[in-house]
Amino acid sequence: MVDPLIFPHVVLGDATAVTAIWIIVELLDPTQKRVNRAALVSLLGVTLAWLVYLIGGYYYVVSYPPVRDVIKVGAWDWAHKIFMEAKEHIFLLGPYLMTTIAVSLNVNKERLLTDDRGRKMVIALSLIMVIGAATMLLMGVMISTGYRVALGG
Amino acid sequence: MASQSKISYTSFFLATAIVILLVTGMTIGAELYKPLKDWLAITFGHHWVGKSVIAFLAFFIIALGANSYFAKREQDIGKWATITIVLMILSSLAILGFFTLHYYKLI
Repeated sequence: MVDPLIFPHVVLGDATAVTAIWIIVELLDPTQKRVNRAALVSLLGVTLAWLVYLIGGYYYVVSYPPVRDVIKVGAWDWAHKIFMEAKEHIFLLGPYLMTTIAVSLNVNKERLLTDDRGRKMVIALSLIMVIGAATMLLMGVMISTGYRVALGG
Repeated sequence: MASQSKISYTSFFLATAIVILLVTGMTIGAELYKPLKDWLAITFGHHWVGKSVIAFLAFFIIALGANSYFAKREQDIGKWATITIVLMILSSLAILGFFTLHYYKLI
């Protein structure tokens, strides 16, 4: 049976990535209204990123150990030993990056209209969030598959 | 261009950069030096919780502690964002690379 925490963890993680995409779109051709909207969306992104962190962390510490033990004796033991080990630690960085994006946008609304390099770098940071979320999702798929392989499915 | 904002985003970038280095160091360090992993697990109940608590405290202490220093100075979002992006990519590759090499018993 799939742990009930997996679904909100994945969905909220995807929603965080959507907020980062939304920020990118708003900043591509900025007006004050668009920058203000990006700043507002970033607050939603921060809330989601920390929720994903808490749910994912709780799952990893409390519910995952029996799953880990199954994966480690299966044919895809590397799904845990490489990908879960990497995922659980790279995952630690996401909320901090999203928090910094939100702070940059919210204290910098007027300046981002004229600071072209700064605006492009906030776009690049948001893109890193999107790539990071997609990578976490891909690693999660490999870990789940490793579990099913170990169970013989 | 000097910022008049009371909140310095530079201090948040600095905090993020230090957290990235700290998490990468703790992750690889705890695998190579078992007493560190044991200390994290015993002190915080789980090594991951230990890394999380240390990263959280470091982030907010640095971000808020360095705020008054950076708020009075020129802030260059482009420079700090570049540093953060480079560190983020390198540390992610270092963590993934470490566990790959560790799996194949090359480290």
